[in-house]
Parts: sequence; C-alpha cells; structure tokens
Amino acid sequence: MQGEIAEIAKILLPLIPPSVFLFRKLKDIFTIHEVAVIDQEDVDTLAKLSEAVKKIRSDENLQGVPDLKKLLDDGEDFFKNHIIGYDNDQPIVIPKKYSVNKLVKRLEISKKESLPRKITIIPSLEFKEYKQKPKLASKNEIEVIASMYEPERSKYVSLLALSIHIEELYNDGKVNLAEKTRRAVRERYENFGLRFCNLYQRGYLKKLFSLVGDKDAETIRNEIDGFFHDAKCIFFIHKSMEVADLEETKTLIQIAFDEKKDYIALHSLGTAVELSKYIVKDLTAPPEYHYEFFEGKDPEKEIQDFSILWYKGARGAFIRSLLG
Amino acid sequence: MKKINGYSWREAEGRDLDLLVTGEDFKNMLVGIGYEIDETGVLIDKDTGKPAMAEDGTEINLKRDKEVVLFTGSLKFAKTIAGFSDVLARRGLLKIVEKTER
Repeated sequence: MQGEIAEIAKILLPLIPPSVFLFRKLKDIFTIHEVAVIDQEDVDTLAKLSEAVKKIRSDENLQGVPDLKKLLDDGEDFFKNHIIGYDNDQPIVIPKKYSVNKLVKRLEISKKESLPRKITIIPSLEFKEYKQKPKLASKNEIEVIASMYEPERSKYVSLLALSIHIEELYNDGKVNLAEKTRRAVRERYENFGLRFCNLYQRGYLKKLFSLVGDKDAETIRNEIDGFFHDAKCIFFIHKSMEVADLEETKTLIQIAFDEKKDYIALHSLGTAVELSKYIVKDLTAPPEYHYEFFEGKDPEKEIQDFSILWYKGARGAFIRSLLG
Repeated sequence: MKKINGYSWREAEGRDLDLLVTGEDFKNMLVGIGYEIDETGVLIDKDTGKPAMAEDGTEINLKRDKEVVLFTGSLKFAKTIAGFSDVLARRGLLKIVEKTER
C-alpha cells in the first residue's frame, strides 16, 4: 500500500507549484478586477487539480500525506469559491461573490424583460470544448448538409458534429466519454441518431456523402433517404446488449432474409464480437445472397472487428461498395 | 513571469460567456431566477406552477439529469451534450469546417 500511495503522490505532487502560482496571481488580480483572464495552460492545471481533488478526497491514505492534504484543502477551497468560464474563447475565472449573485440578478432581469443574454451555464468543460473545437469534415459532407432544408438540416448538422466528436473520443482512447456521448445521442435522437453515428463510424455515410456531395439538392436528399431506408438491415452489436436484444437481432435478420432485403449486415467491435458470433451461429442465408465476413484487428482502433455481410442485386452491391 | 489580466463585471455584460456552474450552485441559481425543485427532483417554473421543459420537450429532473445546460437568453434548457449540440446547430453555432487533405 505504501508503494502505491507513493506512486500516486508522484503523479499528484507536481501539481502543487503551478496551482500555488495560479492561486497567488488570481489573488492579486482580484484585488483590482472582478473577472480574471487566464490562459489555456491554467485551465489544464485547474482540470488536473479537479481530478486530483476527487482522487485525494476518495482515499484517506492519500489524505495522510501532508502535501496532498494541503492540495486537497486548497483545491476544494478554490472550486468552492470560484467559477471557471469562457469569454468567447478566452478562459476566465470569476469569484462566486461576483458571479452567482450578479448573474442571478441579471438573469432575473432577463426573465422579466426577455432581453437577449449571451450567458450559457454548462455542466463541464467538455461542453465548452465541444462548442469551441471545429469539427473537421470532408467537402462533400459539408455540401450534403448544406443541400438540406430546415428543420432537417440542423438535425443533420448536429448528428454529423456528434459523430465526428465521438470518433475523435474513441481515437483519443476516451472510451467512457465516447460511450456516454453515444447514450446522449440515443436519448436525444432515438434510434435514428444512434444509427447515424454507427453508420458514420463504419464508413457507410462518409462514402455515400463523397459520392453524392456534388449532385443537385433533390438527388442528394433522395439518395440519403433511400440509403437510410435500406440501412435498416445493418445491425450494430454493442457489448451492453442483453440476450433478449441478441435474440431480437437474430429474428430481424431472419425476417430480412425472408423478405429478400438487398443488403443485410452485422458489425461489432471488441468484446461485442463474441455476441455477434452468438447471433450468426444458427443463421442460414438463402443461396441467392453473396456472403462475406471479416474478422481481425481494426488497424486504426487496434481492437477486434467482426463483420458479416449478405447482399444481392445491384442495390446490395452498391451498399456493399460503401464499405470500401 | 506569466501576466494574468482581468476586467470588471460590467465590462463583461453582453459578452458571450460560458460558465461552469454545477451541483448546489446550479440549483441555487435556478431558485434565484424563479424555479423550484420538487421532492422528486423535477424542475418547476414558479410563475406557471408547471415543469420546466428542455429543448426536446421533456421534463427536467435534476436527480436524474446530471448534465443540464441553461441558455439564459431564451431560458432554454438542454439535458445532454446531444441536446446542447441540437440547440447550437439550430443557432448556427456549431463549427464544422472542411478538413484539408495532407
């Protein structure tokens, strides 16, 4: 245990000098100003301090280390008495005595007079980063979105941004945050939203948008509507699925065979691969279907990837081609 | 030496501010502007006596919804990052830019 505490302390103790420096500077600023402007490095320090405070607070052994106890006390005191925010893209710190009371007063005026205010209250810096950081999309993806009319356009803009964001989170190894965002997409946009994200990450939508992006608006909309209609038989297996979900998926695939759908597919990653194998082990496709399967390590994500495809006809072959 | 600047609260008026306010501070703020939280956690507008609605038309329950966003200008709420994204998209505030190929 002593060794483990020493290891954790080695990670946390270096936070003390930048934190102390920042606290002293803020104290000086607040003798003159009500809002302190800080830089992104200071925001990073505060983010690490917040995590350190949570870690130390949860472990009495860590609190037994005097320097860590002081870091905890100073950190808790800071977060109890200050609000972190952004003025446009500039990080700021506001003492609560100036912010909560004045903000409440201004909001009250706002509510009565409906004046436009530009204050957004966010629950974590993740939200600010989501708003602030541009999402990088291909020219055709942007053109496809631009061809749509409201209210569909805003929904697709949001889903595209969320899909790109989720992909980045997975690529950065932030799996828990990626999955939390996926759950939020499902809650807000229901199955269509989750399906959009899955189809984007698998590559279907990226390829489709690249093919239709330079066409006229009506063709784009028809192609996208048509694809989402046909994509109902593309199934994504997730590790959180239970036996009832797997059995339902198996039934839906069988129905798709019976109804002679042009394209049916099953995709899974990581620990969900075994669940996919459970689904397909008793399935037999009619002879008219082309059959492909892939099992291996996804080279980018470095996790197991398992996919099975059944397709027929020109339409089936076209959807298959979207996978590359 | 790093120089940290500052300004007055009055100078901040009308600016586009995103403030991180959570937990009890967030609840106190909502109470301060005319909401109350019932025993089950549902946010109620004191003026109307009815539950406050998020941008997706659903009730807000502060015991269940841990990531509520408040857009103060319109007093609009979002319950998740996806709801937040939807409001930003409708307001033209989401930045999607063309990636340059290397």
